[in-house]
Amino acid sequence: MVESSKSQVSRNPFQRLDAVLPLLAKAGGVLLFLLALNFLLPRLLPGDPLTALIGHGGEGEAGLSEEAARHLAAYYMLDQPLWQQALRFARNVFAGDWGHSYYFKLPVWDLVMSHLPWTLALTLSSLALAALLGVLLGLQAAWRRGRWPDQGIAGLLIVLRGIPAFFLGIVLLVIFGYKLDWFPLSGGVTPGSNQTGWLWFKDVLRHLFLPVLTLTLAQLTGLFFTTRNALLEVVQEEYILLARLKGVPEWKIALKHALPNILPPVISVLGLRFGFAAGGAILVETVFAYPGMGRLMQEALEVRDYPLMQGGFLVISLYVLLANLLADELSRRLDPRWLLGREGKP
Amino acid sequence: MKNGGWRKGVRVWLSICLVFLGALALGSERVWATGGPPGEKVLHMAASDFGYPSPFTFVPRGPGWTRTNLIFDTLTWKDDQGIVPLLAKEWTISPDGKTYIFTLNDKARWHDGKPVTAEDVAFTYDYFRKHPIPWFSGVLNEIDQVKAVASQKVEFVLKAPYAPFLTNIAGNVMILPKHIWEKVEEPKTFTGKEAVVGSGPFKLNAYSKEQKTLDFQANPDYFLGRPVIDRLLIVPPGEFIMKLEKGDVDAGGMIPDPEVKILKTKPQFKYLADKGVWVLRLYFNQEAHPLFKEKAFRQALYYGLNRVELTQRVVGDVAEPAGPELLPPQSPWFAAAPERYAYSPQKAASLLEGLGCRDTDGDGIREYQGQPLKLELLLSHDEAREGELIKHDWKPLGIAVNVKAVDGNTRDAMMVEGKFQMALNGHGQVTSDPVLFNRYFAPKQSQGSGSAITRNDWQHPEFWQLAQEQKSMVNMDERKAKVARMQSILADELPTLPLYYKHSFLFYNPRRFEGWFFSPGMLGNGVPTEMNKLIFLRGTYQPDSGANSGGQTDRPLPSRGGSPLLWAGVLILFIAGGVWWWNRQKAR
Repeated sequence: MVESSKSQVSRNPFQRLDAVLPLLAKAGGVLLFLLALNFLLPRLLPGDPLTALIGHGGEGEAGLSEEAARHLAAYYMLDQPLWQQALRFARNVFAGDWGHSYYFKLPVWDLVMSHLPWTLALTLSSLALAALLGVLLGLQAAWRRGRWPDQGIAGLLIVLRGIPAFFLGIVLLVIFGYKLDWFPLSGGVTPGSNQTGWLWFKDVLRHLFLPVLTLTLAQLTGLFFTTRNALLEVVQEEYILLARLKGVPEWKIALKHALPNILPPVISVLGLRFGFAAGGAILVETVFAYPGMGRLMQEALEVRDYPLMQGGFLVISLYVLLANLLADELSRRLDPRWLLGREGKP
Repeated sequence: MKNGGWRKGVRVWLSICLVFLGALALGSERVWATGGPPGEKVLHMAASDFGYPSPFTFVPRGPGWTRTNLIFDTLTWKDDQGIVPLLAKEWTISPDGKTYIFTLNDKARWHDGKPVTAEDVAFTYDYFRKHPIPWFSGVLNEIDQVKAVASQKVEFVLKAPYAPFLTNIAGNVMILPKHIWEKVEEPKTFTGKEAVVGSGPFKLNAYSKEQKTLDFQANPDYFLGRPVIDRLLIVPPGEFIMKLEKGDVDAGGMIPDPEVKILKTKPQFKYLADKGVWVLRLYFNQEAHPLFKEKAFRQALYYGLNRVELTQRVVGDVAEPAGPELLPPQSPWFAAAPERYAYSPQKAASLLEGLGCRDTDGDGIREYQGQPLKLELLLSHDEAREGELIKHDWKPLGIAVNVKAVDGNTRDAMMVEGKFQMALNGHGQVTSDPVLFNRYFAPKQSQGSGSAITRNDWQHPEFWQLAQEQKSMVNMDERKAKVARMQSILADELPTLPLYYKHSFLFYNPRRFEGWFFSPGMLGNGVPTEMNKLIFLRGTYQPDSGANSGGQTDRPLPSRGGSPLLWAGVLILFIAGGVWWWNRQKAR
């Protein structure tokens, strides 16, 4: 059936274009909306970048004369009308020029791209671990519903859910970072270590372990209950009973018959969380002083660094869009009805 | 049969993998703390990130300027006693105080080996005028011209005598290498390697914005002598106490108050305190309420505020209650006013009655010209407790306070725009040169660029006259007399209500490095810092013996609980053994 479905796809490029154009128009519209939002939102905040640039005052800076302040405003083009700033922003984005951070004086692209990999390493690792553990534990709990493994795991995870992630992080830091001295207290790598290759990778893993563990535990409960609750419905289906009567081992029933049918809701939840991975985890990043987009955006927000906020939020927005598209597609492809063909016949 | 064979194969494969991983884990070595060569003298300091340490890119805050000064030099500097020569080995001042001639140290070299000359100095000041930055530009207006009069001699001619010239200008403006910066059209985006070629005791090895670390290498050819350490690593200060105890850092300043209190109880660490370096004060927007223009009202509020209790309850012994003079007792310019405004609700009530503020309707709130005395106090979330205590103290006086807490940047913006009635804000510089009065109390028409803490509505002709005069006075005694009179006026008029002075602390491991100091009157334009570069030339460094140091040992550190990889390896081997045994049982 899949084959015949494919044969129905048109080979006429112009007809394909007709199908693609609305999608492109939709994507373009979304992009323009995102650009507008990224431009406007920082400017809606009270305060302005010049206040932070000129200095809070009283920390040793001599301040600026009015003429020098005007020069600075003109240099950063903050004295231009808003619509001119907006046009310039849109033009620069499409030209690949994201400007320089007002506050840190470094290229926005470099700042964002230097923080993003750390963020993705943290959030995606923890998401993958939380998904794996959540599904395995959910499977165990659903298969032993009402018995002590189910009640024990569910109870433990409910308690865990009530502990804020930052507090959990602090506890893990004190125990494993300070008391046992198993892991570093902060950062992404050992400062000044200049490691390369495998040694650098191990250093990164050591620094990543506690933040990932914290985020994994913080996300575990939701994925556990999603899996467990979906499985509780599936285990009552007749094909599960039939498989048991046929003498299929329990583990095979769980993995080959039950699990594939609960993947779509799990993937949907994962997809949502996957989409927010680029935004970082500000609280965990703060506890572990871990380099990430969360802290970068917080710093940018505090000093009203418009270019940095614009660049960072744009990257996060595009990532969310892409992640949601991927999640939708993956969810569709993992649906057994799609695998068997559109009519649902084997 | 086929299925049974498949399962057996999987089990065997899994066992082999687990054994391999276990061996790998057991065989892994621990990463050392610095990765440098053995015997390298590395000092780790805990401090926040303040940008790329180049003159146009550092974040315009004291710590940013201090770090940049590790790479670049000024003409003069300060040690623990006072002003000392730096790039300039000596100088002369004309009798009228308007002309300074500096003779440069002919041993001074840029990091690329070229000599530092008078042309570099003249170029620098001209360049900063063409490309103004907030840190310097306000004071450069005092200069008429700068010119090189010989290869190692540079002359400054001022528009008028400027009393703090040697600290606030010569000790503030970093000298740039002309041969590099004359080609730079956009200094604010110049962040290449050449941007950090200076003449200072350190060179920049690496700056990581995402890790928030700075790696400085000692300059072995520094003209005042090689630093006593080889490397200075600045790392984020989070979890400072744990890091200090573990030995991950050796010293740190700007420590949060709760951590200061804890660290003071640990005898293995020493500390230095720079007292009275920061003040929290209450600002009035005189346009927002007619009573704010009344001196008696401001005095009543000050009498009605228990500053001793407020300081004790909010900050404890990391601060002391402030007086009406604005300058703290630690300032060499401090002159105590006759009236110190000791807490007296009775005096406060009497002054309010005299102004016609009475509670006519018995609701506990006084009325003034028919309107209830309900005032709004704007502050940042960090000062929320102070706001509540102020509200509590003024309530019995019949003044209702609505506390409005916002983030710091919003509070500053609202103050600049005048969208407040009263506001709490704080600043440093209060133990530095009294030219700070000219900044904080300039009449509106003389105020430069908008800044929250320099906002001032108060006008007092005699005070401003004195401020202008003392700025140009080179005779210390005469200048002190004028500054004393200014403090007396401030204490009487109370255009602002100082609440408390905070101290700055440096905690350090004495077994690693000794020789820390703070400079009297701060550095530059008023920067309190523990990172004075002269400390790294004069101090003593030693590897920590690690004995009985509260858990602190030299790097690399032995793990207190054993390596986690070792334990993970043991666990993996245990599981692998279990799987192998299960395999055998199934086969039987």
